[in-house]
Formats: sequence, C-alpha cells, structure tokens
Amino acid sequence: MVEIVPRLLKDQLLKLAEANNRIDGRGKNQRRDVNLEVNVLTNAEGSAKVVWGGTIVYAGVKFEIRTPWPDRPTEGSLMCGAELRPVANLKYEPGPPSAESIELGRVVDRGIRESGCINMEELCIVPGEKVWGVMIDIHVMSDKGNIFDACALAGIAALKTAIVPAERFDVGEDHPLPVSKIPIMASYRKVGGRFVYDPCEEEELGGDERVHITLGDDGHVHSLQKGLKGTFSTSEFAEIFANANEQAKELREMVEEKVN
Amino acid sequence: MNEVYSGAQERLVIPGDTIGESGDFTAGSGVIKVENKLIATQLGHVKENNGTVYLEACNSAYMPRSGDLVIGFVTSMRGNLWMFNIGGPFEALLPMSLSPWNTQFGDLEEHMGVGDYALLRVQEVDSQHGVVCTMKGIGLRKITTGVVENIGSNSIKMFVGSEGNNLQKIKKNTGCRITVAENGKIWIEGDEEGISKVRSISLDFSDANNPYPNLNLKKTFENKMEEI
Amino acid sequence: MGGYGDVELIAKDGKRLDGRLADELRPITIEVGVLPAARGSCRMTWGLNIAEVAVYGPMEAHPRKIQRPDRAVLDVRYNMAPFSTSDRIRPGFNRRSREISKVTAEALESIVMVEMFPRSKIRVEIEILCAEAGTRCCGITAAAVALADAGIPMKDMLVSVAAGKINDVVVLDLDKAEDNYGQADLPVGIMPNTEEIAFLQMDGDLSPEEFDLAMKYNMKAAKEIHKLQMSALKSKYNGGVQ
Repeated sequence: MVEIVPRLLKDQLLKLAEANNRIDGRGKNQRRDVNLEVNVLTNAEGSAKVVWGGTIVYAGVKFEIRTPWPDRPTEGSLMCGAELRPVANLKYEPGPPSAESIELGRVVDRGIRESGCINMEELCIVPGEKVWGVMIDIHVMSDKGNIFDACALAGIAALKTAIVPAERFDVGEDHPLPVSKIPIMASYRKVGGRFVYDPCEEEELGGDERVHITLGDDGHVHSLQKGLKGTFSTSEFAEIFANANEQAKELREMVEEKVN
Repeated sequence: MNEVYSGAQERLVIPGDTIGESGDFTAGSGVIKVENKLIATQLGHVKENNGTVYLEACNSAYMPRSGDLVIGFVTSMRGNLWMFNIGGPFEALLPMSLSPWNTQFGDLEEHMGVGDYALLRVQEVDSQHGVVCTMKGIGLRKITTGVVENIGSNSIKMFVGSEGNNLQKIKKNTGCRITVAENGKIWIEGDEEGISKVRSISLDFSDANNPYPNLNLKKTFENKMEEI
Repeated sequence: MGGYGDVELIAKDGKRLDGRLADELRPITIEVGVLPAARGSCRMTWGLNIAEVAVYGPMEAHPRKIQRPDRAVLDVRYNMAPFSTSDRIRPGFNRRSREISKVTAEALESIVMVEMFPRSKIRVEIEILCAEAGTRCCGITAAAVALADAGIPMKDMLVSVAAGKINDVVVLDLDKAEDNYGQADLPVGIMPNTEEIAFLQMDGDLSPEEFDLAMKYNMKAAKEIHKLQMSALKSKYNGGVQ
C-alpha cells in the first residue's frame, strides 16, 4: 500500500523541529518506554518479547544440525530472518516478503553476525560432518515505529537465552549457547530537517532518510545502513554516532539484567 | 421506558447477547431482532430512544452518512475528481462541480494536490458505499494551517461533552479554534503552545487501545479537563 | 492422528497424563487490545498454545476482482511463526496453513454480518507464536474476540474447541501427546448463544455414540470458553472489572 504523507503533517513536523520538540513530546534523543521479556515461548530454544512504545516484536531461536561448508569444516552457521507480516500494520500487504522485510532481516543479521558474539568454531560437533546451524526468527506483531531497534534487541536477547538442544539431537548434553557480546542497534530518522532517535509512526510517515547503527560492547561499529531518499553531512553523522553509544549502553544493561 | 433498556445502567453487551424481549421496540444500530428477542451485534452500551433500542458501540469503524462534516486528505486525482481518504472503508470523491473552484478538466492540482487536507460535507452515500462529498457550504474549505488529529468517531461525544461544555472549555483555555468532524478527526488552529495543549488531550484518544468508553480513558480525560 | 500405538494416555483412575479428567479443558487466558497497531486484537493462551490475532478494516477490497457487490470478504490468514514448533517451520507458502485459513474464514463469515459492508474487506491475521495442539481452535476463538474488539458486527460469538479419543476413551481438548498418539480429533466451531455449528472437521475413528459424547463435551466447553471471551471483552471497557 502506498502511504500518502499529509502536507499538514510535514509542516507540523518542521515547526516542531524548529522549536526542538517532537510530535509525541519527547526530546530529540529520548527513547520511548521499552520492556524486554525473555523465555516467553516454550517451543523456541531461546526467546524474547520486546514492547517498544506501541511496537511489539517476538524473537525465537531454533537449531538444526547440518553439514559444514567444505571450505570451513569446523564452523557452524548463524542466520537471522525478520518477517514483516500483514499482522503488524494496515500498510503491510500479504504476499512474498517485501524489499523492506528483507532489508530489516539483513540489517539485523549483519549487526549480530559481525559483532562476533558467536564463535562459529564453538558450533562444531564433528569437524567436516556435523555443525549447528543457529536460526533467529523475528516476528513483528505491531509496528508503531522503529521496528529495526526492537527487532535487533529481541534478536540478541533471544540468542543470549538460547539453550543448545543437544539431547534432542543425540549429540551430548543440553548447554547454554555461548554468546560473548551484546550488539545493540540505534536508529535515527531525519524529521523536519534534523535527526531524532527512535522515530514513532508519524515521524516515519512524515520523515526523510533513516540511519541504523549497530554497536558492540567496546563501542565498535558493526553495521550501518542508510535507508530511503535523502542525504546528510558527516557532522550530522558524528552527532548521531556519539549518541548511539549512549543509547546502546543503556539497552545493553537492560539485556544483561534480563538474561542473567 | 422499559427497565431492561434503561440507559442509566450503562449495560455493556457483546455480540450475540440477548438484550431482552423485543416487545414493541424497534431494533436500531448494532441490534437485530431474532424471533421475539433483541440481540446485540457489537460490543457496546445498550441505549433506548423513542422505542428504538440501539447500541453505542465501543470501537466501531466510521461509516459515512449524508450530511456528515468530515476531514480528509487527497489521495489521488482523476479527470475532474479528487479522491479523499476520510477514514471510512472507502475513499470519498469530490467532483469539481461541488468544489468552490471552477477549473479546467485536468487542472485540479492548481487548487488541491495529493496530501492536502480539506473540510468537507458528505453529500450522498449509495448502498455500495460510494461516497460523494461537497465543498460548497459555510466553512467548508481546504485546510492549510494548524494540525489535524484523530480522536476516533466513537470518542466525539466524550470529547465534546454534554452541550459542548468540554470543547468550550478546551477552546477557551488554549485559545485555539477547534473543528470536530464526524469521522473522528479534529482540526486545531492556534499558536504552538495552544496546539500542543490540545494535542496532549487528543493524543490519549488516538491510542487504539483506549477507545471510548474505556473507564481508564474517561478518568485520564476528566483529570486533564481539571488541569487545563 | 499420528499413531494408534499402545501409549498409555489415561490412567486407571480416569486421569490423563497432565492430571485432567476426560471433560476438562487446559488452562485458558484471553486478553483484548494487545496489539496497538490493529483496530481490534486478542491474545489467547490455551495450554502451551499462544495465538495473537489482529483485525484491520473494513476497508476497500483490493484487488477489485475479489470485491463482492453484496457483502464484505473476510481475508483471513492463519500463520505459524517459524519458532512456534519444536522443528522450525520455513516461512512461506504452506498447504496446511492455507486450508486452515480457508475454513477459518468460512466459519467467521458465518457469524460476521458481512452484508453490511458491500465491496469491502476485513483482514483477520492469526499468528500462532507457540503451538502445542489445537492451534486452529485457539486461532478461531481468538479471532472472534478480536473481531468483536474491532467493533465488527456479528450475529453471535464463535468458540472453537476439540474433543477426541485416546485409549478408546472420549476426551475433551487433546494436548500434544494425546494428539500424537490419539485415535480421533473432532474440532468444531460453536456459536455459543444459538448452539449452531459454524466450523467442523474431524479425522480418526469414532463410533456414532462416541461422536455424540464428543459433541456433548465440546458444547459444554464452548459455554465455558464463551464466558472467558465475554469477561475479556468487557473488562477492557470497565477498567479491568467484570
């Protein structure tokens, strides 16, 4: 469905930006309330539910045993997929995965994978024969803005709680999946000419380009994505990059608290 | 008036509930007559007026009726028609002949383009949900200033208040001009501070999980009306 | 039905593996208004099953060829999340979900007053987040609640529940083990006020007497579940009281 942006909304967002205000009254870098729950789905080996403002996302981890790639006989694999099904919003239509849905999955996947939070060698069962394939599936149930951050948070939290079901596959004892790092994504949207953190639904409708930054525990950046039409300057990026570090710290503490 | 249908009880029913014996009552909106019984078809409060038993639905979709004042935005233009989203199930059309302008075929955009809001009146609705609007009438016009917010068509009664007292109070204390349309949209004009005050009230209503007459919303609203 | 093996599913004292009697339901919870983006929504837990349903519309039916000049179409999707079962489900087209979506839509069309909304479409999205057994019943029951929450006019509510047969005994509401090793499964959709049947499927083996008993159990359970639907819907508007 093509979404139409009311002109009045654009004007309003511009005026609010000039007054350093936001449509829902938040500060420029203020996050909405976030609630994280883990181990919420019995049939998943690891799971999390994130309620981020009005956005609701579930993530579940599943395992399979597969043969390793010939060039990497001792390495398992990690795959992360996100589905934007029509349940999440009126604007999502049924049908094969949209480009937006695929982008979402791939951006979240890169952030988690490139952080090195999972040592692929540790997923090896029998070199050259059997390795674990870890799959994170993220299900968006309600989209009221900023599904990227919610998906990334649910994904890493689910991974942190995952138990490798070795007994069920007859390859040893069940054990927690070793996950050494907690990559966190922070998303920004250009609204009324300036970047704001954690855009809400109206800001996404009336805003311009978006930037997603995934940061590791040490403040290193692991994935970046610029989306939609629009351009920004290097100084604008420096500003949001610095802010992303602060946001990531808070959310990382939240994950640590919940999974331990 | 029959005790069973007394509005004072604020009786809440769900679809399929038997409201009572039909007797001489007529089934109104949200109510059907099955054999000798009146059955509710929606979640809502039972009301009675002049022998008609009806439901005040909690969360129903806006269905346009002729004469309704509505606020919508242009979604597309075809030949000499503007198509409007007025929040109902179907787009409404505004023919050039019912607009205040006299323009050439194909030159609609000169006056209103995609994304522009306007205050319209529903001229007629056919049985197939075809909706024709008019912009000829007092106050009907293109909206170029202020903001448009959604409070939902079920919440209008509460927002406006009995004899309009809530609306009067909000207008007086914020210095804003507020137009409430039957499709649940409100148009707020005024200075930034006033607009943000009105929005702090209207935003509670646009929360999809808080439709009227949810008791929580009622309390929040009453508190805000005290503070304002 | 998986197999007709010798698995002991019911003890001598008539109690089932999870301690339930033959005509007892698993624990059920229903909540409404749980998905902020939807017009109406419902979350239902039934044993270990978790279903969340969103309702959108009525809206203009697209593409035009699906429009009906005399009524609304119900566009129902039943979908199991990839992590909802012990073996991951690959996202995408799936014959089982297609069939369940179809029969669910037809069951709901029997209660929704579709003739009030010609040419339009009402979208019902059923997502199964965790599956034990009986997800279609859970989905249909939750969908009826979500439709009511969305203010869609309906002649009655709809409750779906299943009875079956294990170790030659008719029992209500099969759990996973019972579903795997049981002998029959009879899911029905019942309009709780009129007691009419809007949805019916069955597989396995039942004698006419066993069928009657299974239907009796289903009818009784439908009344119980209807009370839960009612209190969930009303509590949203009574500030949590009902």
